[in-house]
Amino acid sequence: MEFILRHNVLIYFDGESKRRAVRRLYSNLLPGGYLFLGNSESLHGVTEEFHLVHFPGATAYLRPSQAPTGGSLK
Amino acid sequence: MTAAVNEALRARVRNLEGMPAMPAILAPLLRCLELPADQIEIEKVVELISCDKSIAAQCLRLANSALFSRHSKIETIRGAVITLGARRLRDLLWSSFLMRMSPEKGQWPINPLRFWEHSFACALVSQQLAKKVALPGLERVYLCGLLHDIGELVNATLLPAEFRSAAEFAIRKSVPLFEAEKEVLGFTHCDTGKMLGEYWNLSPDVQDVIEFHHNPEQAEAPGALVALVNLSDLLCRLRGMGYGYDELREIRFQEVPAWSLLGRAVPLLEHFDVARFTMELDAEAEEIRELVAAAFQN
Repeated sequence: MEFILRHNVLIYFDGESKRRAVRRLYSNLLPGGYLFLGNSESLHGVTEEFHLVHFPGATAYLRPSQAPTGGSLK
Repeated sequence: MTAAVNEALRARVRNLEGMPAMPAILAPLLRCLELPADQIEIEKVVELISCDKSIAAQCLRLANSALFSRHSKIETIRGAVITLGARRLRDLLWSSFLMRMSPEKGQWPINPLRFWEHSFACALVSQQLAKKVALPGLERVYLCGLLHDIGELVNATLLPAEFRSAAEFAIRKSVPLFEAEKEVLGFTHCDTGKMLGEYWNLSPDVQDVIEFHHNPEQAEAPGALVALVNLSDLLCRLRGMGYGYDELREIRFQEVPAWSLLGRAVPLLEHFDVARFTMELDAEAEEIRELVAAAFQN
């Protein structure tokens, strides 16, 4: 998928479920794909795999095109 | 900027006419309000404000604005001062002083309300960001944010035609104003702002922010303050508190040069939740608009 919109869902999860859910979203996104969350949701402290990206009037989480340093080539 | 352009510019900035003098009550009033909250003499503040009809009217208007939902109308300066509090009063005083130097409304290629909203937003965001990452010297931070774009005022006043084409270029191409200025004028509001800063005798760190807020890595003494205002400016422009048009950008704050510059001065930055801070800013936008509208009507 190139982008995922998921507003105000993660707020109902606790830390561990949040991490699991976000992990799934991450793997279903293509590298270079975007995750859009609700207006009061942040992935701070949940994962560092996404890059926070600001657009005029919007923020999104980007799955980087290249795996973070140390990523394997499986 | 070539030496010849530099010289010509300097000559024009030195001749800045029509720059209003600071209102007589402003300096003593600001001094009163700088004191710790428990030492502020309300009666003295009320007395000073009563001396300036225009400032008094602005205080009453803001105190009675939608910002404070009140059942009864506030009709005394004392009531207004207590409702507003020292911080809002200081913001209002600065805004009303600075706006007296605005060029005639029709002369601006950009909406002057947007210009001031952006300046005050940047002042507030700079101050809050500084607070969050524990950067010392908060009072200075506010002023730096407020005055960072003051060169736009110089450009709009002294070089209205050139400035208009630069602004139109920026809007047409969806680029930041300073890039358009470089393209169209050959210099930017950072250059003219720096000259005004020297002319006004602003302190060197405020001058540095004015000169380098678009390229903090070029500042001679790479200051955390310059980097902080650079980030705040960027955030404001991305959150609809810019000049009334959207720049086409995709920004990753962790990759902006100012981010690592600031990170060197404040280790807390590493754990800073930018997403959360961005969301909090949206709530502030309304308050900033009320403040600017109250000060601008007079």
